[in-house]
Amino acid sequence: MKRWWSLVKKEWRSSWTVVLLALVAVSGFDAWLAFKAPVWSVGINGGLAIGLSVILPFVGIAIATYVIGYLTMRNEWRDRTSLRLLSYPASGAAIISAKLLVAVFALALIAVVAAAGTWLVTQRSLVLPPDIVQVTEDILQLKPWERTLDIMWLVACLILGAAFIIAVGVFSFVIGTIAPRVSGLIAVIVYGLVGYLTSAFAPHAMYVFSFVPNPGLIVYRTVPRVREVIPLLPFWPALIGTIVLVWVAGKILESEVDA
Amino acid sequence: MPAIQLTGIHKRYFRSHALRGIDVSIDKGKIVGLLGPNGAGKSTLLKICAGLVSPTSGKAQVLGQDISTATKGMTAYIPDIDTFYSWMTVRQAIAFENSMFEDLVLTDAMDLVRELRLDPDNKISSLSRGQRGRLKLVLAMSRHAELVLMDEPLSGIDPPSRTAILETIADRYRAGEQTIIISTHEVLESEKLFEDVIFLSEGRTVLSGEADRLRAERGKSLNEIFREVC
Repeated sequence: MKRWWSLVKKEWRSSWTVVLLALVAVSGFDAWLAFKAPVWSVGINGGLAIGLSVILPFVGIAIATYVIGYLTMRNEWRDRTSLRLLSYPASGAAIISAKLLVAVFALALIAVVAAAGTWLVTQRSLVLPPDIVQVTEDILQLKPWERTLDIMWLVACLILGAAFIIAVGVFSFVIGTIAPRVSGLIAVIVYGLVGYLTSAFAPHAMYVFSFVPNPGLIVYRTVPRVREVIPLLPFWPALIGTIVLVWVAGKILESEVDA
Repeated sequence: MPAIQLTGIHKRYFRSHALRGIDVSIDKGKIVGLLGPNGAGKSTLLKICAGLVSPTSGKAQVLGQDISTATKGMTAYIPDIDTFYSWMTVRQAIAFENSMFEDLVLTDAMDLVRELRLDPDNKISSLSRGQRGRLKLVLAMSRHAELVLMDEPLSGIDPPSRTAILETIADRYRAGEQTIIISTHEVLESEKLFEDVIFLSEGRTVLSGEADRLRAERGKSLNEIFREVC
């Protein structure tokens, strides 16, 4: 555990400057949007402009999620530090999970700032896009404890989703290192294949896991006004998928990889 | 129990053979020279012992155990390339190694830093190649590891640093307790260190034995034998 925690700290120290830059960029962009919001929101399509602009940081976070797993591993090989990293008495899964934790934490931190920025922009807007108004009204119907529970499960699912995508990136890279000369090509193929298999079999997996207890999202239907609990079916498949990918990639790191 | 026991080790990278049936047993408590020209398979052999590469076939044991995460904790490995995190300072690199290896002695590390004239607060990215070579040695020799694997520790290093590295290995080596394996193709400078030697060529062992015995039998220095057999 001590070694794993050292690996986590090392990962964080090597990436905090990039995270800080991203935080400054997102805060700056949202502050600028908030400054413009009172004027833009009342113009023609102003609400739409604000609505689209406010999701831009989240698009950036989504793109980062897709590439960060691959990049975080590739950097070790590019800088040749992989040889040192793999000579430590830590399991492959420990090395990967330390990277995964820091990547997820960094993305979550940026997402929190982006969410705060979105809130600020909506507060400053005089006219809001209809979708945001509808979502706000729906949320206001929830009791405080329901809202807290919903937020908790949604955050957990988002984190799990991000962790799964990052794990796919890591797994693709690790498979690629088995054939160093064509590692990039193999990684892209594996990434695509895992993505395809995920989309093809996700409904089946969710069906199977619908028979076990799942976390639920409490919502109120507007017409007719009824309380409903939507089971978050991707929860278990994403958790198990992430663990399997990290474990398999870790085993490959321990045995077959040429650092 | 030997420090390293390799039986029928083959390693293939697709079509190229790095090792072609290596059978080696290295006794504990010696400084062993792993000598051979470039491409002889020295680095691959050390990587297998360090647990970084799996042999294609054959059996490899280190300190009486199959190679695993546990044996990595008992082995200090110095690769032939720079593998430092360049954003760390010398002090941070030592602290990080200390958190990863239980056998690293911090006071020994700081003594070595002073001996080898390194500034602990210097960033690794600002160190010269010679200084990085010395830092590698600090990290390996400040550990009380039973097995130390050094891959070309003198390669590309300036003459004063080479002397410092060789003197440090000789001074810090804990005779009888520690096994040090040094791979090199620069035999002349380092041959006085070796108690045993293994000559590799094209992935095969071509000669091995006690350094003094080989010198006496052939009436030649190790450097001359190296030129003859490799």
